[in-house]
Amino acid sequence: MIDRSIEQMLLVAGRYFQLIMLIVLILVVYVGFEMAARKGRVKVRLLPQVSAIKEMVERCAEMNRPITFVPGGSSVAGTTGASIGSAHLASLSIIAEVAYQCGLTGAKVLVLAASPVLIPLYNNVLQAGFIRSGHPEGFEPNAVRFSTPELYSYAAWVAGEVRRENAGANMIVGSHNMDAMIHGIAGLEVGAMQLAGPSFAYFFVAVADYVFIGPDLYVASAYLTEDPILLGSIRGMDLTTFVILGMAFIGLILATARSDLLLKLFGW
Amino acid sequence: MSKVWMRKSLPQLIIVVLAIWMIAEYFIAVKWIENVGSILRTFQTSVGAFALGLGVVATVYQHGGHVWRRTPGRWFYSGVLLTTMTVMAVSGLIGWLDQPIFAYLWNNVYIPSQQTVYSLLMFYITYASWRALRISSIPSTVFMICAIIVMMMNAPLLQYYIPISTPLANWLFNIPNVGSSRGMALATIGGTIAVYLRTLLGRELGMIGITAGEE
Repeated sequence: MIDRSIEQMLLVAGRYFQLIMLIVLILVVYVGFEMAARKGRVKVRLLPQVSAIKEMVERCAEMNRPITFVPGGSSVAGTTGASIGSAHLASLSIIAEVAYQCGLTGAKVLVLAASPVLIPLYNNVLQAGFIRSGHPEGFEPNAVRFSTPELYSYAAWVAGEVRRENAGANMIVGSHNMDAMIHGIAGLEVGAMQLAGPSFAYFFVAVADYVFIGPDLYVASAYLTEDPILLGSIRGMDLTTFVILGMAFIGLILATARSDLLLKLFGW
Repeated sequence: MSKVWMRKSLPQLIIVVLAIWMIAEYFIAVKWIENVGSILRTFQTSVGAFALGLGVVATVYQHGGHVWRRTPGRWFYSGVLLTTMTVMAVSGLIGWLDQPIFAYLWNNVYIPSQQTVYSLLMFYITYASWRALRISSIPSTVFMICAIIVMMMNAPLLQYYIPISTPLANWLFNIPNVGSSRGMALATIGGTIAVYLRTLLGRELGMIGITAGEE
């Protein structure tokens, strides 16, 4: 009786199963970390999207055209305090890699920010990339540009910037809304090589040369850091997928047997 | 305090504490935890509003530079941007949303411009479809056939003469489409959890502007 009252007082009803699943999935990813830490470096196949970054930057350096990076993050409501989602967070590693390659080749990069909150963050990441390449002088303080957080105004501005700057490569990597289509076509019109995703991947396969589909961006982000523990998180991601697939399979059997046990469990 | 503490450890500590707090708020029904969570969300909005000032400075610096230097092909647009930004800001500050100039610009310039950009999507989607719908392999042929069936469902004349197109298109939407997109979403969940866990464990420092090689 006492236990029951404590449970009612402490936990929000209907979220017990969610809490259990969260703990299970975090443990599974953590096991991936630990396995990597014990076994040493995890071998990961090089994604074509990652090797394309170098190719795109070198192409831009040869053509003397800039690279435009469109991380997105604008919202329909045009909030000024844009939150940073997981895809956006993972895209920072890509920005750092682009800056590193630009430092080596002398190419110019422009980051078209959708939120003023993120301007110092992009500046830091770009500067770090140039410093890592051994060419800190390559970093331009006005490489991060901002115009508006409003979704379609941002889309129109990005399309204009890509055209005016005559981008040699257009990277639309991060979190995007419907504006993704406008960015994609703008790059296509100026003949830029395009790397895009993971949101609106189904649209980008028609207009981009390389697309991050599903969890590819998270894998690329971990790959680029070359940190064995982070590479271990890729194993954790795979284990998580297997856990969820297992649950889906159990759900399939239960649904076929006309049992609503899993549905009740979700609502517990 | 050392530079490393201020640059790395302190922001990391703040991130971990706030993240755990927001997770706890979702699951734990304790009033004071909920109250603090609510204050934190308000704080986020306030910080965002202050950051708009930073955005204004960045915009004025960038576009003012173009106007000042008369950058070919750019200075005129930058001038228009700075002028409209100033007019909107001043008129909005004077009389808020009821100010006639602000209301006029909002209703007759801003809203139609947004709708114009939105309507451009139709052309862009058509252009992308034209590029995608090319029969070059077996998967692209399947893709083409599915697209035609879905287009048939949306054309009343074809819907009338080929009635099977509607149930067929609905089946495509509800079974293969939902199944495959959920499969992709499930795979992405693992990545999302991994990124957040990496952040909580202090291995992913992109959120505070530190990336590989800088650590």
